[in-house]
Amino acid sequence: MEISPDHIIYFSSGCFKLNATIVYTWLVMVLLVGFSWFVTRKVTSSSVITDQQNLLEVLVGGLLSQIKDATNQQPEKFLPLLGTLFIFILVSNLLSAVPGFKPPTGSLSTTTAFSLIVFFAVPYYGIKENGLFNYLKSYVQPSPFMLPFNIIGEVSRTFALAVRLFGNILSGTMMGAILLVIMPLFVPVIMQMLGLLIGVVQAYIFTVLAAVFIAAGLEVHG
Amino acid sequence: MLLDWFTIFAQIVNSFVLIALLRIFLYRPIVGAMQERKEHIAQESSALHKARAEADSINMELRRKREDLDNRESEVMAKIHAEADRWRNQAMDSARGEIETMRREWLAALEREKESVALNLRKKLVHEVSATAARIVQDLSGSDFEQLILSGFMQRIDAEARGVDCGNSEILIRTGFEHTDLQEQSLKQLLEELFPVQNERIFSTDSRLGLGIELIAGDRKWEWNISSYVIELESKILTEINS
Repeated sequence: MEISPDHIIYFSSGCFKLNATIVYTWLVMVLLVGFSWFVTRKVTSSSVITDQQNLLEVLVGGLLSQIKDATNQQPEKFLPLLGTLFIFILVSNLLSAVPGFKPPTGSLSTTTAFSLIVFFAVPYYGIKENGLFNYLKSYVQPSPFMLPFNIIGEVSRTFALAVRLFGNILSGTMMGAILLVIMPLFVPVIMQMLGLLIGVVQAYIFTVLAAVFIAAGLEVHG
Repeated sequence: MLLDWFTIFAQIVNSFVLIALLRIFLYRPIVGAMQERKEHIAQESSALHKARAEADSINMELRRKREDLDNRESEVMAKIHAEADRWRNQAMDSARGEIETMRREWLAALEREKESVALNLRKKLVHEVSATAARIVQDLSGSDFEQLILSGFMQRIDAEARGVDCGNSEILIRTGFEHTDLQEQSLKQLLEELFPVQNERIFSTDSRLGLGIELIAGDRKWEWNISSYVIELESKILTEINS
C-alpha cells in the first residue's frame, strides 16, 4: 500500500520523477483552467447569466467575503493566491471520491509546497504593505529577545499548516482503503462521504488560516 | 521519506502556474463582471435615487398645486354659495312679488266675481221682489203694481217739481217697464202742468232700470226704483253678517 502518491512514479529520468502527485495535479489544473476558460469565454455583466457563471460568481464572491472577514483588508489582492489554494485543495479533495484518483493533497510534498508558499507570502505581503525595515523590525518586537521565538513561530506555523492538511487528507484516504478491505459494502461509502465533508472543511481551514497568517503579518508590521 | 523536494518544487511551480492561469481565466473575468454589474447596479440605483428625488419633487409640486386648487375650490365654492344665496333670495323675492301680484289679481278677480255675483243676485232679487210685490199688490188690492209705482212717482214729482224751471231743456221720462198709452197720457198731462213751457218730452223704456222710473228735466233728476230698497236690504243683511 502506497502512503503517498509521490511514490507512484510513472516516468523517471535523472532527478526528474514524474509521479502521481504531479500528474494528478496537472489533471486538476487542466480541469480548473478548462472549466474556467469554458465559462468565462462568454462571461457577461448583465443580470441574466448562465448557471456555470453563477456558480463561479458565488464561489469567487464567497472567497472574497471570507478573505475580507479574515484579513479585514481589501480582498482582491489576496484572491489569486488564497482562492487558488482553496479551489485546488477543494477540487482535489472532492475528486478523491472518484475511484482511482489520487488526490495531490494527500501528498506531504504538495501540502509542504502550499505551506512554503504561504510562508513566503506572509513576508511578501508584509514587506509590500509596510516596507522591508518595518517588517524586519517586527521580529524584534516587543523586545530583541523575542527574535528566536518569532522565527520559531513562523516556521512552526508553516509546518503545522502543511502537516494538518496532509494528515487529514491522508488519514481519510487511508481509512477508506482499510475499511474497504474490512467491510467492503456500507462503511466505506459512509466514510467516503465523510471524507468529502472533511475535504471541504480542510480546504476552508487551510485557506482561512493562510489568510489569517497573512493578515497577522500585515497587522503586526503595520 | 515523505518529503520529496523535487515534487515540492514542482508543486510550487504548478501552484504559481495555476495562480497565473486562474487569474487570467477565472478571477479577472469573474471579478470584472461582478464589479461591472455592481457599478451598473450602482448607476441604476443612483438613477433610481435621482428619479425618486425628481418624483418626490414632482409629488411636492403636485401636492402644493393640489393645495392651491383646494384653496381655490374653497374660494370658488364660497363665491358660488354666496351667488346661489343671492340668486335664491332674488328668486324668492321675485316669487313672493309674483305671488303677491297673483294674489292681488286673484283677489281683484274674486272681488269682481263677487260684485258680478252680487249684481246678478241683486238683479234677480229685484226681479223677484218686484214680481212678488206685484203679485201681492195684485192679490190684495187687484191693482196693477206698475200703475201704483207710476201713481206714486207722479204724486212725488207733483209735490217736488212744481215750480222748478228747467229752461228749454228737453224732459226725459224713462221707465224700466213697458207703460201703457194711458199711463203715458197721464204722465204727459202732469208734466204739462208742472212744466208749462212746451219743451220736448221724450218717453223711453230702459230695462236696466228694472222696476223703476226716472225723470230728468234740465239739471234736475227725480227717480224711484225698487233697487234702492233692495240695496238697503242688502246693506242691512251684510251688516248683520259682518256683526
